Amino acid sequence: MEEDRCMEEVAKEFLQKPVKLSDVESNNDEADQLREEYFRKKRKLQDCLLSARSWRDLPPEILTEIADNFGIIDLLGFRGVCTNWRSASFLATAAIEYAPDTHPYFLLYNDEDEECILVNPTNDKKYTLNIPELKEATCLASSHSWLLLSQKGLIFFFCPFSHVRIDLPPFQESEISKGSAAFTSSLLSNDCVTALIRRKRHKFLELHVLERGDSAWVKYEYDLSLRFFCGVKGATFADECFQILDENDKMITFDLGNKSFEYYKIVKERRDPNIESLPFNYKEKCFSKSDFRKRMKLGNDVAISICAAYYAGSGDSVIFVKNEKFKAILDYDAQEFKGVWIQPRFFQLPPNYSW
Amino acid sequence: MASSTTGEKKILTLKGGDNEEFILEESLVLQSELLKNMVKEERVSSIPLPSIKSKTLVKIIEYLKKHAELTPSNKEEFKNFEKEFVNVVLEELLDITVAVNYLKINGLLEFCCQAVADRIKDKSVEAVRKIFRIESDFTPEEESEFRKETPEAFEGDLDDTTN
Repeated sequence: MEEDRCMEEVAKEFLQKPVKLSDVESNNDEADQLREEYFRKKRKLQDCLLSARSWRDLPPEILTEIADNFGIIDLLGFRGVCTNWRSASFLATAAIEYAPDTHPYFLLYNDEDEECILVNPTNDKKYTLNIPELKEATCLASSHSWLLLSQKGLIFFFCPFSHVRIDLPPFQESEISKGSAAFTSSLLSNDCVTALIRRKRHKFLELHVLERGDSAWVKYEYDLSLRFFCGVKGATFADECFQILDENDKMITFDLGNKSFEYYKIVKERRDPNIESLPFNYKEKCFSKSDFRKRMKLGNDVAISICAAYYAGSGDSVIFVKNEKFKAILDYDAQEFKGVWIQPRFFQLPPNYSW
Repeated sequence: MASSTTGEKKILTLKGGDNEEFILEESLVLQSELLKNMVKEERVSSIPLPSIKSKTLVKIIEYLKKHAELTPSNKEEFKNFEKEFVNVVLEELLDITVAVNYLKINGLLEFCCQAVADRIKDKSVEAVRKIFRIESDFTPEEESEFRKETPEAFEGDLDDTTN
């Protein structure tokens, strides 16, 4: 209150006696006096503005700068301290979690309850988060710190940390399976394109494409009758193409430019110059290979169905983690969980955002 | 008002909150965007800064001097100085951060904010409130909603209040 009054007084005084610098040039003695008075008042006004000195009332620009230093967990905590800190961190996104080549966190959830577990792979720290939106959701893709989910017939993008959700136009066909989708860029970029992938009676591979701003999915079909292509085990976007991998060593790409499909077999051969190299690096069985069950201290009865994910590696490279089916060691009474790799960032949508 | 000069170097007086005066080379204060504008556009030679405690001003001037002497060869020494610079009690860090923001000393502001962030990291919300003397002003409904969303953030180690 004290500060308010002080500010009001100075502001009034300041407004009542406007002193223009142009007046000042004419008379030297007076000029100096006037100039000094002008700046004394200007400064006094500013001083009043900053006299509120407690950590809670820090100016928003300082709070924003502080919040930019945090990873996801510290940012969530920071936002829970008081209203001022919360509103000032509106634009903080935990950007440090997104540095190239940073291995994503692992998010474990299930259909029964709202409690999820987030694990930081660099120190194996576990965090419990309540994310009711993940209940009964199937993850279709994870990239750019967003999840693409399908739940009860609806398809939407979701940020599990800010709980922001972007609904996509209805998709009429039957369910899409885990890891069977990809998108090209951050949802905030205008040219983000999403693709859903499904196999139709072993004969066709269907790609349903949605450009940002469009209200309907566009279907493209690829004839599989003469090809060996098993179940989809993940998709990514690299080199201007959607890249779809199957359970074995086959890959189908869809070029966004000329809307055409290509079929590949992935081989380990490196020497032959006639063999194209993959535009991404891929990892298989990330969870089991890095012994995550033990690191997360999960029981022998835990089975996890893990959705594919892709993220930026060093340079312009893309790192792609395939779907993984992690089987319980005690198979007869397994508890079914779902999991996904994600670089955890906190996104809120700008005002007036529309898909 | 003309700037007083000794040789080629322009001299400037800063007046702290308790009217203590600090005389220093003008070139030093140019690191502050606020003071730079005052000096360049308003041609003043004495600048009162009543909102900044003299103790804080001493610290900041010390930084400006060190920063002006920064060369590739004493980088390591400067880094150590910076570390010590923010190794102060929280109350003092608050004064410094607010003053640096007001004076618009850009590199230093980022460094101060990072130092504040470091003292928040890995602590529970309750511990941060205790250390920074902040009372929650959320409604009970909001408070319980946030606790539900991120129980971990609230239930962290409360003992870690050494600051």
